[in-house]
Amino acid sequence: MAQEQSALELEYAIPPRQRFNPLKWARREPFGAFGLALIIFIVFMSAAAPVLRTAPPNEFAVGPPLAGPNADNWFGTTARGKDVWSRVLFAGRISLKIGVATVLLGTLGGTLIALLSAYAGGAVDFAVGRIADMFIAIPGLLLALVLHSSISADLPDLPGLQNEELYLVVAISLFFMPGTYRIMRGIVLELRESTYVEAAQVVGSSNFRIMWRHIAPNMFGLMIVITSISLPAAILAEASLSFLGLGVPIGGLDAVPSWGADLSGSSRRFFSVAPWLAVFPGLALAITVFGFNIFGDSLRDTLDPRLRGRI
Amino acid sequence: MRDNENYWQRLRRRPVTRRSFLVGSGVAAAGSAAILAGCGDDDDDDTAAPAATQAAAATQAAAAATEAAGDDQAAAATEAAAATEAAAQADPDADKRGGTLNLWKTEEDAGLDPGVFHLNNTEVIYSTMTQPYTYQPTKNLIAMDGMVGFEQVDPTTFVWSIRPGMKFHNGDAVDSEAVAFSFGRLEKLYRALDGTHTTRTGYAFVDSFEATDELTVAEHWARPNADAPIYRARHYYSFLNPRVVEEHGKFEGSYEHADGTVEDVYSVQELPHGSGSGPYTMTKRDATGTRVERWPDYHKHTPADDGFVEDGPYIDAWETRVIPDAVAAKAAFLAGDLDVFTTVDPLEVPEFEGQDHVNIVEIPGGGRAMQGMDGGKFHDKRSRQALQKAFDYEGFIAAIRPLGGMYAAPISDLLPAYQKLSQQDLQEWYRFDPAEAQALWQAADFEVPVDNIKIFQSTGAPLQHEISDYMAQSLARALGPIGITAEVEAVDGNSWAARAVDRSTDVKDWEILSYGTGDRGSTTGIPNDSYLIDYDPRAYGFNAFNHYLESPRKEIAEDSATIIDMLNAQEAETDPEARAALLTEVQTWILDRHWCNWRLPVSSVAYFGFSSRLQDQGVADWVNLYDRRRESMWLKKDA
Repeated sequence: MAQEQSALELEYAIPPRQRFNPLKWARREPFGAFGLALIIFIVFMSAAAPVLRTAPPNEFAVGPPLAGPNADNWFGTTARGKDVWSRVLFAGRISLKIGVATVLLGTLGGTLIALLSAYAGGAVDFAVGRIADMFIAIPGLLLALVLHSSISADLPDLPGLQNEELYLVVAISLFFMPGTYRIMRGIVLELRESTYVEAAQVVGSSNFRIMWRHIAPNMFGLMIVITSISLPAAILAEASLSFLGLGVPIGGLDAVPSWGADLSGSSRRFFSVAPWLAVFPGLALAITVFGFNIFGDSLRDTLDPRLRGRI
Repeated sequence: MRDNENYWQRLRRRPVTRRSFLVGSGVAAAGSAAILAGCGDDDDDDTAAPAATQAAAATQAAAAATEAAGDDQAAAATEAAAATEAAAQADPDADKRGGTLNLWKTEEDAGLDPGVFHLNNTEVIYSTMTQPYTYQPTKNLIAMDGMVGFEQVDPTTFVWSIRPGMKFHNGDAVDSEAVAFSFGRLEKLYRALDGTHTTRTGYAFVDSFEATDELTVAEHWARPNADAPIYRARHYYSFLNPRVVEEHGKFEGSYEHADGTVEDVYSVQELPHGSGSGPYTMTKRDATGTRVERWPDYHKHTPADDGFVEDGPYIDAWETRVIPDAVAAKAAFLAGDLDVFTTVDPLEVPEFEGQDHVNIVEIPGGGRAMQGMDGGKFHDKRSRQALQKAFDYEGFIAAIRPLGGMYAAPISDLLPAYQKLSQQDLQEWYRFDPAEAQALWQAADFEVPVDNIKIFQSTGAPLQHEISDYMAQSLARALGPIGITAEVEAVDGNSWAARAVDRSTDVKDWEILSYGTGDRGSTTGIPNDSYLIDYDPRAYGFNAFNHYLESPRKEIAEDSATIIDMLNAQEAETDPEARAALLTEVQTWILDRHWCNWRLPVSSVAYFGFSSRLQDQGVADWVNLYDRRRESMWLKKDA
């Protein structure tokens, strides 16, 4: 009898949770680890920009116009003598800030709307679904243009997020939110029919408790995967909008450089005679996006084994 | 794995990983780039070779046909050749005729009425309408267009003789009634619309325009004006068909004459067919640009004059593309798709000079880089003075004019006969002094508190961003210690212009209006136009900067009266030396009062780009605002 019991315990016992070993993960996912290293590098360089800079990023005439990379200006200077190295460092801040804020808002917002509407079902789910369809049908760039002319001036300044930055976050989030909603809605519909949710309903749990305690935790893994994949796209979207002049303001003492903005504007007319104006901001943007891309790819493999190896 | 599968079946069943997809895409992209990069000049050779082959084949075939043909055919061919030769002798300019002039502009127009707007529409107005004449300030040369002569009968009467035989595009005759109507409507439109883009000082001194006979118009002036003839070279004075305006115009308001009679005022922003009598008619106007084509019934210019030929124009059509991005326009110009590129940065001259099909012309610098101040907020002289003391002029020259900059006085530096202020004189006024700026700001009276200085500019010219950025930084640094911030707001050109002259309230929604990049020189030859208009309480001072005679702010109103008297005095003075003295006086007053607007240092040298196929373009015409009205321009076929 005792033997039978121990055999049963062995069969149904919950295996002890394995401690996450970063080295082991890095060996299993070398690309992911490399991506993470790139992200850490970019974050570090951006955070340490005030220390690592060789000149204030917006300062005019810190060197001769269009000087190539040299001992004083490591990445050369712009046509107005601004230091490209310092600008590249500071520009990372806005890209990361907008990217992270956008993805958080877009993913959390999409997930929350999916949870509420899919759990409620019926007319609510139908209505929200059609609204999402509507947003998906509008090209992202067009949506950003419309928002820029309609709401950008009315948005408030938030702590750490100025009016123009908030516009970027809202514009890019609205682009990501419907996609996240669609993916998450499917998961909620599946989880809503699961036996443990039925069991919770039988014992009289409230809808809020079921959503919060039983469904939401099971969406978390996928949410992280979506976040990691959306982040590089958000950074590129910020760069694209800045390239089009719809990004953060480019003038003034406190103006924050942006890789996208530095790849546009008056700099472009000198690209052929001063290629460093394009190469360094472009490289920084490419490294960041590449890092997030391969890290997100590995993270998805790690957190969602069912999707491993598939697009 | 299934045992009976071969390699290809296994490969097909293998899942495509995201990573392999990314790697594959990357390799494909790199490969495509390499292939494209490898193409290059081969394209030209590929097309040239078949063309040459075809031409050679055609020649051979023609020779063979001639040999094979009988005597009759040979005689016919001889006759045809003789006829061609005769035609060539009859029209020695035959090889100059034809072609399409390719131009660009940054935005589509917001209207074509020459009496209302002058933004992004001059290529249509200059080509489809007739002006009295062109004026070249650098050569002090007048070339007759719609007029054949003029006479100053007495100090306040000026008489015009109109070119006979001109017709509007709908067949209506261009007569003195039409010309008097065209000139007289400018003031009426200005009143009805509460301000237009026209230089009001060009007609404000006129009491009436009178059609005295079929081809004679008399101007009756309230006071003498030294610039009157030159003013009429501006495109505002284009001849407009009164019948078309009446039938197709939009009602803009009513104008009350001195005798109490009321007249309805109409605009023709769409410029319907028949509005003009110029050498071209408009065949396309949309968001992508405009196209004008030669009007076959255009009158003869007899006698020919500088820029005009008897049987002009030579060029068949002008295609103007809207290219918002100057960098894209530059690429199009370098690729040979545009014939004129007007915004060459001195730093990019070496890049242009290496191109075979490009002519880069050095022109005098100058131009204007203006900073207008809202009189609704900066009514106290000390506040305007504080702004000007908070700007680092030397730093600006080092940063924005690295290849050479100079200080700029209120009137154009390109008017040497009138400009008597030296660089040393100007440096006395344009002195950067943050401490004094702070003291002046704190002492100044602000009816509307200003904590943040918004510099408002249009997005058109990339250099404008740099100028405004520098301005914002300089002001923020100098005035920051007393809590003043500065920022830049950039909008598209048409929105910018609308907000610049918006007079729905007497306080603007910006503090400084930034316009003009000062990187290339141009002048109308008229001190009022270049650039006293920017300080005139009856012109931009009124509609753009709230510096006007009827201002509720006492200091502004009083100063407006003073400067108007000074402006009237200088423009009425016909002796150049005496006028130069009066102009020095008014400029000194402007600088001393920090009145309304101030000019930033400008480039000392500038560059203009033309395609090598464009001949007789009249560089100075293009630079000095009379750019397009040159019918002698032609396009080389083989360039």
